[in-house]
Amino acid sequence: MEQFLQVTISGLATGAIFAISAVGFALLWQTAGAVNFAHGEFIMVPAVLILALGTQEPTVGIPDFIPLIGGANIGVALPSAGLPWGLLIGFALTIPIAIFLLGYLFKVSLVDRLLQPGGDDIPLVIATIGLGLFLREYVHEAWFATPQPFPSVFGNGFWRPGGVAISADDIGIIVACTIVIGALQFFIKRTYLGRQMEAAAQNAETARVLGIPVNRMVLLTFAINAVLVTIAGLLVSPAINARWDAGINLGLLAFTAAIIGGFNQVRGALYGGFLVGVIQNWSGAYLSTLYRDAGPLLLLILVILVRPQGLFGRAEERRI
Amino acid sequence: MAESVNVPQSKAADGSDALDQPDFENRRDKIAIVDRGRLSPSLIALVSMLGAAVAVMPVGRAGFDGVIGLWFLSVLLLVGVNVAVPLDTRNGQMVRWISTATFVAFMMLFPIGKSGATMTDFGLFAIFGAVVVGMNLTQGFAGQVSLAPAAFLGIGSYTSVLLDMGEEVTVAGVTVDLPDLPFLATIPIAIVVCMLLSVLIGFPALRVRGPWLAFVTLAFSLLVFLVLNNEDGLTRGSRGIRVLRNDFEIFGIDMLPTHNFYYAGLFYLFFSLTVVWWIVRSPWGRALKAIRDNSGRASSLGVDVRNYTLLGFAVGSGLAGGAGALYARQVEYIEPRSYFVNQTIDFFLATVAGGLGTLAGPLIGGSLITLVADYLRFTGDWYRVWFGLFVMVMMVVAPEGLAGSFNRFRAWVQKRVDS
Amino acid sequence: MSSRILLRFLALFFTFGLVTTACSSDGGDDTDAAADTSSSAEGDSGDAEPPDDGTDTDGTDTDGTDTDGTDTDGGDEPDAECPHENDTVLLFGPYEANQPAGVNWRAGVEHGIRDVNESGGILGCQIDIEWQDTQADPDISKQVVAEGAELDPYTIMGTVFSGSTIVNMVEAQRAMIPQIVGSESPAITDRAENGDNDFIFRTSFGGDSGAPKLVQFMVEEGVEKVDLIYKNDEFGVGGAEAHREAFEAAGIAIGEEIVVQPEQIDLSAEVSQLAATDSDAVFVFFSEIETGAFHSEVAVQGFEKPLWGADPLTAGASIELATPGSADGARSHSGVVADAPLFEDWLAAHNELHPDITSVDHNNIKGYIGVYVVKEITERMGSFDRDAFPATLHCASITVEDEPGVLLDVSYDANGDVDRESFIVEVVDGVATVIATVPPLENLADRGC
Repeated sequence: MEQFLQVTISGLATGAIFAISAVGFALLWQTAGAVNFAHGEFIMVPAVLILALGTQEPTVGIPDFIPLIGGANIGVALPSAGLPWGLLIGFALTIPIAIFLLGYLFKVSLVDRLLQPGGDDIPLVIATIGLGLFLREYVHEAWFATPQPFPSVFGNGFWRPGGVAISADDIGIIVACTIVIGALQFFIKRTYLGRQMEAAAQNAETARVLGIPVNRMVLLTFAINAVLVTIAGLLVSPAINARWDAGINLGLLAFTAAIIGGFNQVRGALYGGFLVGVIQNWSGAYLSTLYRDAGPLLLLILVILVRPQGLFGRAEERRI
Repeated sequence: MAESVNVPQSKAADGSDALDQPDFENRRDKIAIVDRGRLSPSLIALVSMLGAAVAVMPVGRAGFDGVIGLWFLSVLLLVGVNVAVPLDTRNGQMVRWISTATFVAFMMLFPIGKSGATMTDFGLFAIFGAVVVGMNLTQGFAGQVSLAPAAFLGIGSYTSVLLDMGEEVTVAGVTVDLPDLPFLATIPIAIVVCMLLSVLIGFPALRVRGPWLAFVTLAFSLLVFLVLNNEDGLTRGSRGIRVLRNDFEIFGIDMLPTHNFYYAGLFYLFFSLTVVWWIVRSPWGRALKAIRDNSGRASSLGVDVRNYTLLGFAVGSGLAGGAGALYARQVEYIEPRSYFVNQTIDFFLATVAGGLGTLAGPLIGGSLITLVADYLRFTGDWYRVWFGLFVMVMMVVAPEGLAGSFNRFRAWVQKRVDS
Repeated sequence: MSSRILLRFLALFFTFGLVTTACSSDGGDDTDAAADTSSSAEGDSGDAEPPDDGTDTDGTDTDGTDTDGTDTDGGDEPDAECPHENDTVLLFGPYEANQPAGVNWRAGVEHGIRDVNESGGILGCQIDIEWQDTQADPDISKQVVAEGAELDPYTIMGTVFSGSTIVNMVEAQRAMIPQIVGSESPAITDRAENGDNDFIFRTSFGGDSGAPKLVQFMVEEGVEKVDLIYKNDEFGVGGAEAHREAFEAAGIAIGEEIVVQPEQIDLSAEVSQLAATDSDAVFVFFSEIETGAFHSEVAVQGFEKPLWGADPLTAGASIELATPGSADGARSHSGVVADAPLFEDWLAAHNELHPDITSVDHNNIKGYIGVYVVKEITERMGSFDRDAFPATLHCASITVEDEPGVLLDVSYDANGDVDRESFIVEVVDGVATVIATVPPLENLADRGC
């Protein structure tokens, strides 16, 4: 029983990692129709930025080209009693950069040009695979090649109530992830701005007629996605370290969680993420550690075949 | 050529498109122009010039570096030659056949005087070229993204090697004594196994439009990796299998020298090009193009969209599987890591950069990930950064790829000459 | 309007890309290294060459420059006929430029070459080396070694990654060029696995020959039952197999066996399983990334069993990736340890030569020793006889009196595996510390000699 609780709790924590990674992916798909195969890299890049801006690690400084321009170390870490202030400052500095690079520039340069209303998604799929390759290899070549430790905002504390070990990071990430996704769900469903956004996503023509600034709403979606991936980078990296190739696995798990949960529902990503994390851990503990990744993948294939809108998604008519 | 150039114009003449919003259908038509269902003569000639350039190069590493420079020079030359000869005239027909024949001849004669390492590189080019030819059928002609070519390459490799070794294997507690088949017999088996598997996963995934096939094949390739890595009794897991070419003969020819083995890869490349060429010219190919350009219209005309797409996917996967059998002997050591998603991404960018929906595109794409990558190795991994950037730019600026851009440029020049 | 923005964005990135590449090929480590080697050669000959002679003219070709730099020594009269032009002997170095292990290996080999060249080279011939990046990719490494073999080098120095070595060693074997590697996977020197490869030589223990030494130490510490946890790749599976045999031979019972997927992020299920067993100790065969996660998870779940394992369990990179303090108490067996008091002088010299390498480890020492093994064996043969090299090195013992550059007495068995003194390392307050020295096995007679 203790082992079951132990495995389930840490499965939920891992699941929260997948959920927070998946939510941006689902959001873009749901509201902008953009399938982003570079999503894993979108999480990796802010994580690296946070580390570069927020700490004075000599190994993760700045990419190669910046020394040509100026300062050798732009880290602004404030050493403080146990609290990761540097990390939070790095986080705050990263958000505007992410909104510009991963939100605005991504939308303007790729999505707007490749995704036409009623058109095919394949060109954008191809281009984002290229984008993922570009970001990954760029960080690898210009920045650093070995995994770097990434401190947790929640510290390294842990408790062992009744023989079950729970770390502060686990609890922190589960709570933070639930709050973030809950807030996003509330924003989309309950606020005026959010409903405008959803309306623009569901039928751009009608929304335009109704006076909703469609283009601005879509841009808002991309900005929100950029903030989400930055939060994900902050929360996920303590578990997987800051590394250039983190995006591959993260991206795969994000797709899996988003599709299983239902990509047209933001909260689908939350349920999907938790489900994937728990299934992985259960199959690792009780079936075979060799095939702990196989459970979610089989579930993914099954969901696509039987219920493409996802376990928690709502069915929708797909226009041809 | 002239009528195809008019297509975008007539579209634009509708006035339906806002100027700053390029019309998507329009873009698709541009891809359709370059796809004329035949070996694009200019590009075959281009590749043959590559062969010609390489054939006169001195042997050795330094010579190989120079080859690529000559290649680009020959591209410029060929633009001139092909622009001067209109395609649809008798001369154009002649250019087509002559350039195809030169291409074949040069590829056949190429190994003379080359070092073993150069031939290793070109052997890999031929094998990966065949994979990209297959992927191009799925993606460029059937209009679906498959993210499993590396998985099919792996299935092909392991199928062929295990059937060739003829040892006992254990799967899930069941011990099977595998037959010891000759190498050549294992290639068709590898192809058929891959085609069957792809039908199995493609049939349900192609029910609805959208990138579902991409997701299913992605999940499939991860599962394949897990099986290859974990089924120790079958695949020897992460320790891999050595598949040395020592004592390895095809039709009595010793395959140990890379010069000889290069021909095995080359014939397979010719085989896959012929298969795709034949498919594209057949009614099936025309149906595929109709589907890719507008699946709604195609299905209303009575084309069975799902089955045609599925067949395109299955043939593409089968070609990857057969290439896997050769790949195992080329690298002489197979292990699950070689067939992970990274390899798929390489194939993928080769397909896109070379040119979707053309026959010569995969040859260019295949050379990008083998020959050009080898040439650019002095940059460390920087060339991969450029490749990623290149794919993005290509999709935005010229979705028809390198081969297609070249054809479009020729059409543009011809229009200028005509008017 | 959007197209203009896009174009600007792309132009920007292209410029950055070009600038960065231009910079890295101008001032990157390749050229530096070439300059290093050549300048050391110049220092030896006492000839004041203009410094730009050794650097390349076009900024792209980093190879072939070494010859230009070393052709200046007219003062030394070679004892034997040097196999390559300008009284040099050419080596070929395939290495993983994108991995710390590969970079460290290269630094070690370069250090060794500098020292050998300063003391007059091998039989009076200056060493020249051509490096080539394998990108840690097995297929590329095979191609690289095939290309390198066509340079007709005297020996091939590398690679470090087991997955690469096992693929590329067949090329060196076919070209009949001795290959000195830093890899530790057991299969590499297993004659049943490697097709009777006479040309492969390690510089440190393989997983199988190191296993009995660690197991012997564990027996002395009173371990009776052990759980195995290892990573599902070449390194982990091979290592676990070798240790399983050694445990059985030494009478240590094996409890739970757990396989972990490479780069798995959540190890809680595995750790909780280990906590529930009745074994005395846990034996860990992970790389640095999994080790870091494992240490952290063990600290959270808090079980008291001692951790034993391979090099990475106590490596600096693992300790860095684990939560602070969680790695303390873990013990491993290491062939060579950079921090051992024995290597103090060597380490100081190495840091002076390569100040940019922050984490000097066993791979640096392996590379250094490799160069001296080549030197000693060549001097024993009296000529650069590639064909006789394997027979001379197999079953040979090289002591520090023979050749101080090998740092520790070493003997080779008939398969190219080594035997020498080694160390038990424990993490104390976040630092790997040598707690014991294990004598050599001295069982060459059992190993084909």
